[in-house]
Amino acid sequence: MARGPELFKLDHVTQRFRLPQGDVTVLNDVSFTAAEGEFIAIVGPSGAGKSTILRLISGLLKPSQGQVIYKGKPLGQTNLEAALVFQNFGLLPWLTVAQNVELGLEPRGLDRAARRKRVATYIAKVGLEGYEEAYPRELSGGMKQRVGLARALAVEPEILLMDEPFSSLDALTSINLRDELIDIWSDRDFPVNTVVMVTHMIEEAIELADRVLVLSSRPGQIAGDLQIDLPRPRDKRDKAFSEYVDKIFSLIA
Amino acid sequence: MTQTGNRAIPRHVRERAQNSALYFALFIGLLALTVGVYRGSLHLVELKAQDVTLADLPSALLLSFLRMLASYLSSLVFAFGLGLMAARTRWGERLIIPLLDTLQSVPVVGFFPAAISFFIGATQGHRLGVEMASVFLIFTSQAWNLAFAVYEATKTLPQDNLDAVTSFGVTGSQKFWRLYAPACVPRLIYNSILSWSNGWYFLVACEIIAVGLIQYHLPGIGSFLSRAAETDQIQLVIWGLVALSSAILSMDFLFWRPLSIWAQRFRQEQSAGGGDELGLTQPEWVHALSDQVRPVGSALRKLLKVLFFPALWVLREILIPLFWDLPVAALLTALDWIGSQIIKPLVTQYEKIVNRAGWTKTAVPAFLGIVLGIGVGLFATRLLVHWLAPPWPTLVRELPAAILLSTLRLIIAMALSLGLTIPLVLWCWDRPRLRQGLTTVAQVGASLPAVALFPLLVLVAVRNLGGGMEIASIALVLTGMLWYPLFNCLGGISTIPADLTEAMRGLGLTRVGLWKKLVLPAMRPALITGAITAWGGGWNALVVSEYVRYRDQTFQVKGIGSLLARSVYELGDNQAITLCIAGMVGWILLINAFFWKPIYRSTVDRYKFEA
Repeated sequence: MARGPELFKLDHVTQRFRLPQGDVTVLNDVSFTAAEGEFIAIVGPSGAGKSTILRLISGLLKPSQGQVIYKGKPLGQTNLEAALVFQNFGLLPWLTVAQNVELGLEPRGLDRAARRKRVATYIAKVGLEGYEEAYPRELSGGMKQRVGLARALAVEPEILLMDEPFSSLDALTSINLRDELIDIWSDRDFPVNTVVMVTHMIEEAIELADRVLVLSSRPGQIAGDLQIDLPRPRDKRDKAFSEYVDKIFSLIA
Repeated sequence: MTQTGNRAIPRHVRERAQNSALYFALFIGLLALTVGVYRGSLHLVELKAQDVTLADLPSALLLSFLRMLASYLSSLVFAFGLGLMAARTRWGERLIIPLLDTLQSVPVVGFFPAAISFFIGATQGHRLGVEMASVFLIFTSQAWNLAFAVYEATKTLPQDNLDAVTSFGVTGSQKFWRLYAPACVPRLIYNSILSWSNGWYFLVACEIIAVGLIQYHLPGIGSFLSRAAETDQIQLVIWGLVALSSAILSMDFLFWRPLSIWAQRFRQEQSAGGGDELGLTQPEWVHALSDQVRPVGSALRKLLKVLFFPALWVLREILIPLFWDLPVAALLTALDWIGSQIIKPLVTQYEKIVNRAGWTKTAVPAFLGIVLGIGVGLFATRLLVHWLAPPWPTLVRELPAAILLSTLRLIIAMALSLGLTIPLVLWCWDRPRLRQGLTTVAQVGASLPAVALFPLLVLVAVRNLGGGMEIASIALVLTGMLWYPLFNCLGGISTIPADLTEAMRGLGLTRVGLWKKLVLPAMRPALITGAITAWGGGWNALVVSEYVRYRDQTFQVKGIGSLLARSVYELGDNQAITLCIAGMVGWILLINAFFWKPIYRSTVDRYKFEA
């Protein structure tokens, strides 16, 4: 995918959290720029502040120091152009599948008819037709994450933020869902083409992303920024693939 | 950042608010007209105690129910307001939770002076004012507990859910309806059952508002029971108790059980055994019956919708736009303006100064804090000195001994409650049907007012066994305490995972072994929570347990409850009331901080079932 103009950048961002035991610095002076159309994976050991970066881009958190610049402007409040997908799905148990998918549409001013149409489209896109009226507790893990994905895609965001989206799924389900994600992402009609994904699985990052950011452990700092130049679909048994794996391993260790 | 400072009240909010204001004016006009017409009949000069007959019972029950309903609905609004504020803001948590803790330990008669001077004073003794005062008093036995429910439910909301809702741009009233309100439902239903029981229990005190010579007796089931007991009409007392129990039972079947089952869907899957599990199910015959009456049910629902339509319309068209959307929007605009026009320049200036001299960064806030602290402290001291200036009423000299005696009484009652609860729960833990029945018994038992039980107690215990008022007062306190550990433990054991029981049985544990290794440890958090609730309830119940009027005679034992009751009912002395409450609340908070809180913390963490 062609590298487009700059979409957002983190400008010397430091993030501290106040805990009862004292202040903890989670990110220390992190800067990077993301271009439109990029698929970026962020890898690193747990506690490196990977999820914090996603929450900064989505505007849920404000940096303690530095700035998040989105489309040339500093981000002041919740970023309505970004949509999040959560590791534990973040579905509301009291809403049906359709209502969960609809969650972000009302705040964006869509009327009822438009909302219905959107919901139907994206439920179909993730293959959940017939489950519109089901409640999350009635679904398997893979299906729940499809709902989470549909909810994020339905707002047709400029950027999709995914926080370990496949970690709570079993191996087979996560392979299927990864393939589908690649299909959706490479679909040219589809408005979303910038993705930032956090993962702790190095192979998953290399398989999906154009670019991998490697974070070092607490406080998180950028230890590496790699361009993955492999044709898709990528094969884990490929020699070039395992060279990337080794390289990232050495950066983390 | 430049995004701030350009927020204005959205146009659709303004337009709707204008419409609503018009409706509101019409509404108020109509109300004023009605009140004006009926004014004469509203003003009841006589609200004295009247002799009761069996014929008064239905209307008394209905009036009390309406009062309870009004109080419950206002408690819900209060609970959401304060509970959310406490859970979502840092200052709220520090301020509101201790405040609620304190208010919770003030017994209902402690609110009498406030109720009389505010509600009855404001309406100059109209019946409406007295009714409002009574509703307010019931409110003081229902609201705090519900506010804690909202606080806890919101506080334990998974971060993912919060982030999801926020990141998709859901804000304001949408956020409330989509996230907070549903998340609070299970916990709120559980605590509502307790709140209703508590409301019924203290109904007697709430329907007879008396400070010194000022007395208002409102017709209701509470005053009915009290009057019947005072005049020694045992038959009427029994009829009253039967009527009250059937009201409570029908509410349980028609309302709380269906609601608890409906609430299952609002439960977070990850959280297990949060203590809000009642394990309530419908008996099979109810299912069968509900299949039979489903058409009737849906017709009824339609009828309710029609009946509630005006209320919903008022809510949607008048109250929400005018009293929620508009103020919120206005507040946000004002805060925004203050932030961008006043605070920001100040901060920038301040930062300039600070950057020049580093030490001012800590010195200036510290100085301001000290000045403010001294100011507030002086003001509060002056107020207190004014209120509590000696000469103190002689009553106060009895205060330390009274508190000590009451504490002893409560310890005995607590030992009795736990001693009764534990064998009962162990006996029925693997008998679900029995457990259900016992839960219902606990619920009804918690609701029956102590005062009404007094004549029965006199008949059964005091006359036959001797021991007099001392035994009776402990038994009465027990009626306000016993149910909480029972209720909580019954809920607690229903969360024991079935596979764990099977695993233990598979290992060959006997029944006694199961009790020791599984049931007792598993119910420990519920037992502690129940004991804490019972302890608090016991202090509140003291006022109606240590001081009882029966056959135009006053029975009392020495204790803080009777001291407080005397200062309210006999002396009507605000200073004495304040001192009694201050002493009692201080003592309760002290025991909470140094005894219950440490126990609670160490138990809850250790004996929790992981999801």
